[in-house]
Amino acid sequence: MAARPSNWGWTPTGRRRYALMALWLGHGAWVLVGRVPGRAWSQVATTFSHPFQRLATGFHDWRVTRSQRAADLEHARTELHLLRQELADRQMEAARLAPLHAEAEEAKRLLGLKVQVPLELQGARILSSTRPGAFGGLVIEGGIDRGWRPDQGVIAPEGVVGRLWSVAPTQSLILPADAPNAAIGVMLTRSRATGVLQGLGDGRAEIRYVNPQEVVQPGEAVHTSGLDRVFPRGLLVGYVTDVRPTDLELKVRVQLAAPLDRLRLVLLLPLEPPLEVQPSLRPPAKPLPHPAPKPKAVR
Amino acid sequence: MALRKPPLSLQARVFVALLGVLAVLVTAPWPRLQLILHVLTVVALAPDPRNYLTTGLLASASGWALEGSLKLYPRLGGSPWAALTLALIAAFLAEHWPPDSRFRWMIRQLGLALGLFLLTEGMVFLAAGSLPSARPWLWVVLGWPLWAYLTWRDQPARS
Repeated sequence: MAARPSNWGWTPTGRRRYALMALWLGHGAWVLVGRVPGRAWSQVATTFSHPFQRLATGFHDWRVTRSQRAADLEHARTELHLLRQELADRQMEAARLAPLHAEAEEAKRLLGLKVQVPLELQGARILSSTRPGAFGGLVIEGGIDRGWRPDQGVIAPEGVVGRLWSVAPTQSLILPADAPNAAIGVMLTRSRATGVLQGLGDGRAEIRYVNPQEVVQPGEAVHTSGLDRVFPRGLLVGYVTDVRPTDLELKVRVQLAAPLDRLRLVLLLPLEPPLEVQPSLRPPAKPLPHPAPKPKAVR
Repeated sequence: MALRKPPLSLQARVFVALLGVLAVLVTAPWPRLQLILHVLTVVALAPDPRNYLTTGLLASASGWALEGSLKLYPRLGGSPWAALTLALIAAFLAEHWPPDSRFRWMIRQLGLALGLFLLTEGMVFLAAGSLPSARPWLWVVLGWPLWAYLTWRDQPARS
């Protein structure tokens, strides 16, 4: 019977055992006795793992950047949505206020005209227009309730509009200056020739009864003459577009200055105004200051 | 009846364990994954009853790779010593009481992992004077069913 070889001799098995014991005891001694912090080994491990650390850092940075971009994009989308909503709201508000703004602008211009014409003018809003129809006119808000009567002159900042034709309790009808049955006493600016303006429709009119000897040129301004006692002298009516001489008179075509189809507000002149009015040179009235309190008598 | 996996050759086992050590080094930026790979290497890949010396070397290498890249402790050495000790215990258990089923293998792996945790805590305390955080070991336990299931093989008999 062969003897079993010893495990602790200088045999390969024994040498492995010694090496293993040295390994374990070396670790134990390192931990229990050694006071070396192990910086060198830590440096080696750091060197090996450095590329992977950088890779992981880059990957982490990429993820953070991507999520940040996604968050920014989401934020921008939300903001864009809100801005679009706000823009739509403002557009709707602007569309709602546009007629009011236009009316306010027209009212401002009417106010300027009111300052220029020192008469007791009354403003009126145009409700509807029946102009395209035969003998059509402009229907305005107000009538007998505001003390109006037929044949009151109606003007706009651009020029003469017409006169009141019929007055109902709360509404009135304007006979526009371009109506075939309308007549306004007018005067040409350069030649000072007078005549009667008769409507031709579609914003045009013709001056009748002008002396054929008069010299009238296209482009000349036409003003009211004041002879009809409806309009005072000097209000703009329109501009000459064509002059046609005949044996008896000079027929002068005129384009009316007031845009009759686009008016919103008009001013009504008083009945039978003076022949000529002068613009007021007085400054607008200012509110009076509060009166100073009287000092109490001291005894 | 479950299919049994034949044991790896010694060279193949050393190669796989070396891959585990390399993986521990590579996964330094992700400490939880690194700890799981370290435990896997120490309790499942490195222990081989056919050669205790390679078992010890591979386990301690895994411990040094872990501690060296963690840079958490003022003095190193606790984790490698704990890994070396536990790997030798695991090899001894595999030699004398080889697990004959996957279930027993998994239970043993869990026990060895908990033992490694206790040894690491104690030996790091001896080396560095402070107890390391136990929270990363929770991930080892959570991942235990997976890594223990996958590493099951028949244990080789000692030559």
